[in-house]
Amino acid sequence: MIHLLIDGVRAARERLLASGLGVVAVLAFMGGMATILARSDSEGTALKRSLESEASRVLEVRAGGDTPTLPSWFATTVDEFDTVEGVVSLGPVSDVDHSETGRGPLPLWSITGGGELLGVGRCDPRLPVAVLDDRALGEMGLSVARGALVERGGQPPGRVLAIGGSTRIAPEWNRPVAAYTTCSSGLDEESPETITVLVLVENLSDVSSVTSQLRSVIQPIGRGVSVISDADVIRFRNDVAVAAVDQRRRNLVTVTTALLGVSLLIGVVMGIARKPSFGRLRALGATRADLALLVWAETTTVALVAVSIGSLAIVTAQASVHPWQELSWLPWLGILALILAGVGTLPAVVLASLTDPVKVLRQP
Amino acid sequence: MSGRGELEARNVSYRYSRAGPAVFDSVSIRARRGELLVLTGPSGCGKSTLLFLLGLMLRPNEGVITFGGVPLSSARERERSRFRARDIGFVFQDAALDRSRTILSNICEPAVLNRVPRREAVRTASDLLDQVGLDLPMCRRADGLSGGQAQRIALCRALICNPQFVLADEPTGNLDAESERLVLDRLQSEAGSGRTVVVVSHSDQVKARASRAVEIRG
Repeated sequence: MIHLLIDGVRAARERLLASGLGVVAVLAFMGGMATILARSDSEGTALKRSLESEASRVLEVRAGGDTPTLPSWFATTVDEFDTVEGVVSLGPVSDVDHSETGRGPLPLWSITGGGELLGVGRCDPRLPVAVLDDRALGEMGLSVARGALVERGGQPPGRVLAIGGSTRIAPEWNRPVAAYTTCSSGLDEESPETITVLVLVENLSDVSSVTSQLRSVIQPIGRGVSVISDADVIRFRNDVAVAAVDQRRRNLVTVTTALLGVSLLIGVVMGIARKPSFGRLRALGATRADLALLVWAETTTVALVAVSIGSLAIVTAQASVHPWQELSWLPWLGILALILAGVGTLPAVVLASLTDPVKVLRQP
Repeated sequence: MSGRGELEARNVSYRYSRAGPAVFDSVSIRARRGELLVLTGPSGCGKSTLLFLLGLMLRPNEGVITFGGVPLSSARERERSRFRARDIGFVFQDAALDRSRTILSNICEPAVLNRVPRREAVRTASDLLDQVGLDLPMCRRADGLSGGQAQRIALCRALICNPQFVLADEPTGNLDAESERLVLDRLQSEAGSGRTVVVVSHSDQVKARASRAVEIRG
């Protein structure tokens, strides 16, 4: 069996070297895939920017109280962080009961940083964000720096964007996620300015609960929250966000369909074009199982080369649009392509095993 | 009584479709070990079909084909394929090489099917190329070869697993005189070394080299 697999790989290598056309076709196809994906992500980025520019129309958080006291760290905003890996906002514990939204009370998690227990906080399970009681933190004699990575029980680590509680909910873009926030810069003790928060939710009914959470975080530090937008704006923005999510789903379906279609097409074309070769091998004594193994090994090798080259093309195309960290889906695309290439070998395998050597040898 | 290395067809009849006419009816033929048997006859008389039957690629409608006394024509397809890969070397009419693969890969195809270690197969292939007088790099692709070169490579492929039986379908059909001579030298030499060689051919040159010629009439 190993001999057949190795020979299949060898055959693929020889044919790829022999056929510059094959490589060009593979490159063109994968380039097309890259373009689709890069374009869709560009659209996502553009949408994100447009939403940010209109954020103030959605939800505005204003300074509240007569003499707001803002800690010095507030001067710098979350905008400094280019990459948001998940957010831990340290601040008063939110006791918002989500019973009315069907999610129930927020679960309580231990939050650790650098192997130490930082405190106990609550976190909306849908959001990569936790709220840590900084008073409890102080009582425990622990401190955590902004920008530090902290871990929550069972959750991926998050970066501390703010301490004391203002910013919430800034997960990576392009996920079917509830919320995204942005803060305007220039906040300091002397000039309390508006914090602009854009709220995108999967379900419109979540807007009120997210707003409540924001209030619970911001009010204790002397700021108030006021919603100035109307429901229609929120609904519109929300629809756009959902559309963005749908767009990604559609892209996934497009890419999967394209990969499967091309794989099957290549499988059929290969099965027909290689019929003389299959017939000759059958005449030389290859069993149907031998042929199936040979074809599978050969096609999978070609697919592996194609996926490698295609991945390079996609990385190149994407890198101009997004930071490298946002290419985490690429291995999954590669695996998907390989699986679909495996499926694509089926027509060739079937045609190979059905080849009648005598008919093939009799053809001029 | 059949001996080792003996190939025999007994009362073999064959038709391509059940209702169609018989290609031939009740044919008996025997090729002994060390013999170069040539099958001749007019076009369409069924020479190649008989060779495919002898090569276990077709099943006779009636009769039996034995190898060394063992009836294999009615064996399961997998067994027939395995026997073909191990004990029969084929030389096809137009060489039937895979032009997108190297000369070495073409020669080694039966070795792969027989799980022969690669190193051993490469060494044998190199020796065989020397023996048929071909001085070509084995890593060269098998396109752009002359008919004589291609047929000699096909002959190397047929011999790489040291088969007991060599079956050749018009192996010199499209060759010039010199190439024909080289191929026939090799086939004759293989018969001389104890293999059973059956060749389908119209060529008088082939018949002249044969131990025995059998004419099939349509």
